[in-house]
Amino acid sequence: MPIIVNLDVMMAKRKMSLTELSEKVGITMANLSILKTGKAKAVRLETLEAICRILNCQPGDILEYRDE
Amino acid sequence: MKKTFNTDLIVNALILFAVLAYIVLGVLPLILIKKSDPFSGWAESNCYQVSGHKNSYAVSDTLPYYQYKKKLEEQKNKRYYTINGIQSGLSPVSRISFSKSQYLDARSMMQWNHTKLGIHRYFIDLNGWILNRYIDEYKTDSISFEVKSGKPYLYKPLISKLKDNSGCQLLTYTEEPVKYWQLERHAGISIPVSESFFNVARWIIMPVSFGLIVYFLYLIALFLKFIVDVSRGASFTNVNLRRLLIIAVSLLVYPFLRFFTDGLAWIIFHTYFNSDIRMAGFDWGNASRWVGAGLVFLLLFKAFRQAKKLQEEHDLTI
Repeated sequence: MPIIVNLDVMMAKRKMSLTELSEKVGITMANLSILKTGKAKAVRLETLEAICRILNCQPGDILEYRDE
Repeated sequence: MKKTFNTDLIVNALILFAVLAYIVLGVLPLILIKKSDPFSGWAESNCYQVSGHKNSYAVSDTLPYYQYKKKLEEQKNKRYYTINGIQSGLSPVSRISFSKSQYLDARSMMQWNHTKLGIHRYFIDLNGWILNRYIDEYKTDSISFEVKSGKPYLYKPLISKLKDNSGCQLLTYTEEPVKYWQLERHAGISIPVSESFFNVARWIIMPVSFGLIVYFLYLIALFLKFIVDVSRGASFTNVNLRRLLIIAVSLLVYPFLRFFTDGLAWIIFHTYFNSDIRMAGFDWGNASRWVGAGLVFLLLFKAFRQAKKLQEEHDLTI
């Protein structure tokens, strides 16, 4: 899929672990892991909003379109 | 490669049922008929060689009603055992089955209490081919199968005009010798074969019929397991999709398989056939039930496949 999820990059920039982020966003580690590894089929806007609020970033910082 | 046995309770229970049914219906009668004579008491006093067809039972209509009914019933029984004998064999679950009959004619009666128990005849039963009967305007059966002096005949009505110009018609019957039998045990015709052919053929037919019974029970087991899984909430799984596809394809293929088997029977035994036989297998009314059920399961399969796709998408929506 040409949509790349840069969640791990943003987490590294903010020095935040997966456990901490999952606790603050309120989604399970398993779901966050699916999102981080790019296996997710869809992302709810409320999930994206929560992640952006906690990581203090824009949606474009997490999601990137790359032409294959 | 490591072999694993199916430990599922439903599957094993159904297969056990199939094995028991097969032994009781198919194998046991073939063994028992040589040793016991369950009808002997009745047969000794009632059975003897009867000729003639069912439209000419020799019962006087001047008898009182209950005596008339009793005599008529006796004649019918005699006719039945003359044509059918005491039968054993595989029940006609498959299109080609087999049966063995013990005939109680006069000679058999004399030998009844000795070592030989009647005349044995061996048949390959073709359940997909039947007599082309119809009821005519005079409400008489168009053709009927009868046995006369141990030989098979078809009785056909012949309507001729009387010569006295009265306009009246005369209904007579002609008898035509045929090579097949039409036992009353099932609708199909039976081809008389030698004992050696019978013994070879039944070891081919038996496993095929048994396999067919097991396969149908397997399909029932698949359906039951599908229902159990759905009731437990595990509806949209690959296993359920496979079950639905197997059931759908089996139901859709079955009528064509029957048609093919009937065709095979014709290729092997067509020299025994005459113009009074027609194929019973591929009438649309019968086939449409199987095809209809198959299409329902195919639609279920499509719906469940779509639902599984949606569920996967839902599960991967974060």
